[in-house]
Amino acid sequence: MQTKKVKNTLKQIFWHAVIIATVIVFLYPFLYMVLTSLKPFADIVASGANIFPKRITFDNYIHTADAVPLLRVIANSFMVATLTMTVKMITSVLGAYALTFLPNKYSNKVFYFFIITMFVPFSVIMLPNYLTLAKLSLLDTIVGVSLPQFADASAIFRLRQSMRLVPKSLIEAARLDKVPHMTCLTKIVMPLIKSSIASQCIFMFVNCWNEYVWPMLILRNQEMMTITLAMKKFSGSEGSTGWGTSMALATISVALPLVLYLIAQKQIISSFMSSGIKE
Amino acid sequence: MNDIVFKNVCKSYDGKVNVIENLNLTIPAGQRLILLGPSGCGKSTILRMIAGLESITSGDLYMGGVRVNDIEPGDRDVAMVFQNYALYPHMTVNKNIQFGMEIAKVPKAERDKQTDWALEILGLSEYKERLPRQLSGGQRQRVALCRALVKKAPFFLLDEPLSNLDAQLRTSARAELVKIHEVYHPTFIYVTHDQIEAMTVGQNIVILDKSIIQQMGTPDEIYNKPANVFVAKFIGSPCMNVGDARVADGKLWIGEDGVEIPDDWKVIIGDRSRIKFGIRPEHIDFAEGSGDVHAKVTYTENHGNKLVVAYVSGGNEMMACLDPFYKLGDDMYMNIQWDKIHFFDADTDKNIGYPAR
Repeated sequence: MQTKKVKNTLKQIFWHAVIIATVIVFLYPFLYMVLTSLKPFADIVASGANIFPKRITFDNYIHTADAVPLLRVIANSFMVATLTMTVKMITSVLGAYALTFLPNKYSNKVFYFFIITMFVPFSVIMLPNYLTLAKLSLLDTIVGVSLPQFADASAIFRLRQSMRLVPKSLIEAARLDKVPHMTCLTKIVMPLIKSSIASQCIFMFVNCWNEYVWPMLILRNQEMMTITLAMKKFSGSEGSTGWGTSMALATISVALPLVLYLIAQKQIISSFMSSGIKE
Repeated sequence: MNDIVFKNVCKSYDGKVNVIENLNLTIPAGQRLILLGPSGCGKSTILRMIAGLESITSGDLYMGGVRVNDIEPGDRDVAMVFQNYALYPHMTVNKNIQFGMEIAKVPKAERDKQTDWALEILGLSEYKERLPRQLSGGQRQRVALCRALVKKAPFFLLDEPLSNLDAQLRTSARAELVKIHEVYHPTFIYVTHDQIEAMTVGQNIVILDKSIIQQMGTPDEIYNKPANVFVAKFIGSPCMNVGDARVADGKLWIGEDGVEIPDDWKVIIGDRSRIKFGIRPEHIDFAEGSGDVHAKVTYTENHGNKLVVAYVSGGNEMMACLDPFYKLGDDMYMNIQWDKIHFFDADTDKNIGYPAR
């Protein structure tokens, strides 16, 4: 009995140690970013292993605001991410609904075709997409950044998986009541998979917010710059003297998606709890 | 007239094997008809074809005189109660019931009136604002009934609506179903594998096996004049004893024991030499010391209200339901009661008929 207790305690200590170590590994870059953004330039170069600032300063943030049109880049990023997320969610929900609830003999083939597109690397379609956008005169526009991302096989795939868990009889009951598909989607299916939709939204938003290569190709004008492109301004190729400002901007860029996540988290958790008693 | 007619209807899911083979069935308007059969016999498929949730591979389906093969479920004017109730989990009871009417653009005042009326009938008025997950299984089932009831559709379909309820609730729910039918007499089609539900709720029962209709008739006919061995054994608990017998010299031979066949039965049996006989367990007449056929008792079970006796007569394993206080002796015999016996053809399993009495 006694040995069993000791064994259990040791086991718990071991797993806690593993968890704490993992947390530190994940948290370190984040902490490094936040703390560096609060250090004066001299401390950043001098401090070596010590990541904690001796003196806290907000100079880096002030400098950031001077060096880039901060509100403008945030607004640009926000617009690109929101537009992409919104349209991508609309197309994905519609696609997933059709594939799940309106099956015909081609449904599976269409679905596999979508899945195949997930295996095409970005670098392969980058150039054709660029040329297409150039022909459409959409270079240097927010729509240009978003357009190629308006449909996404992986989002369709994940939403389809969630929709498959909705009991078929609910949809059949709706069909017997002559509920139009659009109403069925918005009033029945979407409320039931809202946790999945919320997490997909965050996923889409953050992905787009963090995007670097594609916006860099499309956006030339300083006015159109997104926050990831702005960050690049301070980490120049000749040795990056703007670490503090770069980290300040990085902290700002992380803050917004983080706040969104925290707001949506409550929603995700609450819908997780109610999904457990689906009939 | 809101009758339903199947004409040579076939259904195949894969284009190769027919799960419903050449179904011909007429369901009279305003009746409570039960589709009864074991799992996989095609009864739910038939119901879903009526609802329009399954397509018809070939043949014609008429509802109220109109061919509905290509008519969408929403245009068939059917109300349906699903096995898992299919209540929208995120809507309150009130909203669940009103949703269909909202879609049909029924004015709010009328919707409220209908909802209150249905909730009142099924005793759910106080649960109006609850979510399905806050209700018990029986309550959910009644909400599903309310939802179907407010549609006042001429066709009322039920797909094993009581199968998720416990035994006690089932008894009261059966009475409720009959009550609902009495409200406005829709054509009521009820799928179940439970023979008690079928016998108590149904005015007519269709017994299916392997997608083929075995018998259609009133509960009384099904019980007392089963069309074949399958029906005989499917209805009744314990089921009917069906055993093998020989006919020779004007006698029915069960094992080594021969019993004189009455003249009226001789006409029915004809020149058959082999035959199957059927006797319900509650119609077994036991005697000690002497009788028609020797019975070797193997075990007994006392159910409180009856004594169930398993025994072997002429190589046939049989069951008898006796008075709980019945005293079994060592040397038991079974007496044939000719007005309670059934005979089936040994090859086709079909009932050969009864003498006119």
